Amino acid sequence: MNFIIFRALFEDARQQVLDNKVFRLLLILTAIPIVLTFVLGFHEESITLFWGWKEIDYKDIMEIFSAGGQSTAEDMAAQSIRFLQEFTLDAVVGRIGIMLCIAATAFFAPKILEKGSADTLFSKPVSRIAILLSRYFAGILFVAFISSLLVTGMYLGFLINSGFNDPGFLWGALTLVYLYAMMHAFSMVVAVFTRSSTAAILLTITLYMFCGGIHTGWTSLEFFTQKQHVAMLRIADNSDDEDEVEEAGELIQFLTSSLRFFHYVLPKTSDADLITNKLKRALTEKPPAIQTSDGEFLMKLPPADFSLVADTKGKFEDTGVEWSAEGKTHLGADSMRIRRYERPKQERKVGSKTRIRSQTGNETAKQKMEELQATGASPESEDRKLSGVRTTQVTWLESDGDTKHRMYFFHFDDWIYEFELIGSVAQLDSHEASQLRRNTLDRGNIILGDITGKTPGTWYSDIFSLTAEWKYNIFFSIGSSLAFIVSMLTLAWLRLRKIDF
Amino acid sequence: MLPIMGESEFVLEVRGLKKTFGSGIFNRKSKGFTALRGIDLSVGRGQVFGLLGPNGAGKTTMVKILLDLVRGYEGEARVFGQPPSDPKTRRRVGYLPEAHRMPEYLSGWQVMVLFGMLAGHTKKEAEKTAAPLLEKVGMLKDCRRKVREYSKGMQQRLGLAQALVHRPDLVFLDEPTDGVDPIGRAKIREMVVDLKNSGSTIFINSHLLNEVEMICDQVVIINHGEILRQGTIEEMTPRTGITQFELRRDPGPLDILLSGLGTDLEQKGCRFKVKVTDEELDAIVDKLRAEKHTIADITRKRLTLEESFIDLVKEDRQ
Repeated sequence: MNFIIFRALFEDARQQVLDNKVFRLLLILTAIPIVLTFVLGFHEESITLFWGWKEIDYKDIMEIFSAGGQSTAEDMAAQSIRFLQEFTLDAVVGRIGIMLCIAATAFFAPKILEKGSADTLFSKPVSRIAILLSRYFAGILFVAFISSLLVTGMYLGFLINSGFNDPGFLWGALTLVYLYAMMHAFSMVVAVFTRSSTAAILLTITLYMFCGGIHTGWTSLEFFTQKQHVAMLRIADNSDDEDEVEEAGELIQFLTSSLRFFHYVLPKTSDADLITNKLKRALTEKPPAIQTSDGEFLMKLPPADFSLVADTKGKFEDTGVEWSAEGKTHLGADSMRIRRYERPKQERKVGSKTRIRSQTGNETAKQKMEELQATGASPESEDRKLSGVRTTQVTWLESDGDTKHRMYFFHFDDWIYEFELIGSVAQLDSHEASQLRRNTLDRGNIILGDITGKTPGTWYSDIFSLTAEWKYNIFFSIGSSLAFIVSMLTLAWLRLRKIDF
Repeated sequence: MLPIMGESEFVLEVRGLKKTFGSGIFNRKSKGFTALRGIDLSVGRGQVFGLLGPNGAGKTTMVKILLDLVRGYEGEARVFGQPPSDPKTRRRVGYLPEAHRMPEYLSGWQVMVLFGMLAGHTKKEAEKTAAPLLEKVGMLKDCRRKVREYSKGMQQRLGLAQALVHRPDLVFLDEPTDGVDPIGRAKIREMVVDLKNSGSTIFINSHLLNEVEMICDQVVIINHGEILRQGTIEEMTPRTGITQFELRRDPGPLDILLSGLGTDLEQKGCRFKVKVTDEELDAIVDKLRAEKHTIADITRKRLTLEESFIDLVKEDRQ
């Protein structure tokens, strides 16, 4: 398809959309939040209406909602703006906006396939696939225009009127476009098969809601499966009895298999805003020092002033990730290493039965002590709670009498974690060494995925990443959604090439 | 096997063209409806070709196959020596469909530019051709109005203009004068003649047989998906033998004078008509002159295309 033909088809689609009442309504709805950002000013202590015509203190607002907060005034402005941003992207764009976009463009394909219109258009020297694709991409361009208008308008409004500069918000435009690209592909298929705008709108909205339901169901299923697994591990840690997991009934198995099948096959509409947020964070925030694919472990920042030992990168579950002080003696250690590995399984006799249970952090520390004692070293151990986690500390001196090691062992769910500081005796006994350990293992820096305190939504939001296991992986989500789009367009094309007008 | 491009002297050719609707994989039980049962046809350059037939005869199906709007046919079809599925072929083809619907959200001008560009012209080229064409069909002053505001006749005239916007070498016109007033019809006939004079081939599908008779060189009549007859207008409208005479004065009853010359004599005053052979006609003229009757006019009647068409279709039904 050459550029002239694409331009002609695009211009035709543009005129068709501009003539559509739903599209006009969509434009008005888009203008409302933009106007609000220019009319409402969020300042340190108050919100101003119409550039100072009226001023409302945050305190008064909090009193109205009976909410007592510790937030500072600066926080309040930023929090209010972020709330508005998220509300716009999540509720307005992600729910109502997408439906209006579907309604505004669902007639794209049926109109050109109507008797009378089709004869004229398809008799022109343009291939059917070109017409189909031009309609698909024209829809995406319109939605890209609308969503860009919305986020750019709001960004400028917040920047000019409230002095709040958050370029990351601009990525929000992608949410709607990505979401729409999936739904529009399905709408094209329905349109080609039924040649009806009404059928295209209704079935597409139904699919959108169905996808949302499937995602919620699948997330809950995965969450409770994980939660049950963790609960079983913890029971096993604390007792010699391990309940045998009962096999689920056939109906339940059928339902869960169906749920998983639909989740893998259907487009991942609910991932759209998560992907945008992750992308936004990836581009505007520093990447974490370590993040595991199962979402169980996150270390935000590496130790300050230490350098990563390059060949240990990515070896967290192997020999461990290591940082070196590179000769700087004031850092509390010469090097620091952190590692995790699967908890070794141990067989135990309980009465006449043999039970299998996982080794604990404390048992691993004891094992280390025994290994060290066998080499002639004199290790010392101490149980202590670090950042709320029961930890066993093992300290020993190398045979040179000057190099000291301090290792911390703890277990969490399926994993044993090791944290080791190596340095001179003076370094490891210094205040800086304690500071280094505190900063590194601080609750704010290291986050252990405690599934028990989460909801399915927050759990999935945390675990969903570029490095996660395939089913929670962003690449899988995008890949399977793109595969859905390609399948839908292929199906539409296969049908379209067979139609006798 | 039809010849490839370059060897053919014909603008379009079809051989053994068959098409059955509704017998695909989803309709295994149904035998479907056969619209074409093996058509052979060739149309030369610069002709105005009329395609006639009753409703459901397969005329539109044939045209749509040639435009790649209908697929899955048997036999062979070539337009400018190429299969219709080749989009390049359609760059040289214009089409005015029956009961067409132009995009109602566009103005007449935008329709012309859109279809010009879809045929491969630049926007400027399309605009350059659009104005004189709209002028020709009498739509220039209304071309900025939206199509939804047009009457049926106006839409038909715009449809004709869009079919010609890319200066095609072959034009398919399906009921081109449908809904157009007599003045508009005359204009459309003029345009068809102009197109023919400029070397284009025009393929007309119409039920208005008097118009077809006026402008077509060749006609083909099809029924039930088969060709009943094909030929020039002259060949399709043979003489009936009935000759009509007009005399200056009333000659009184002529049955005795003309006895033995021709059959089916009908007389009304100074006018009479009789079915005669060429020799009988000479003899009648001689006898009238011998009786001092002055002949004001002699007209030898031909079958009209409509009469010819009706006879053929009736015959086919029987």
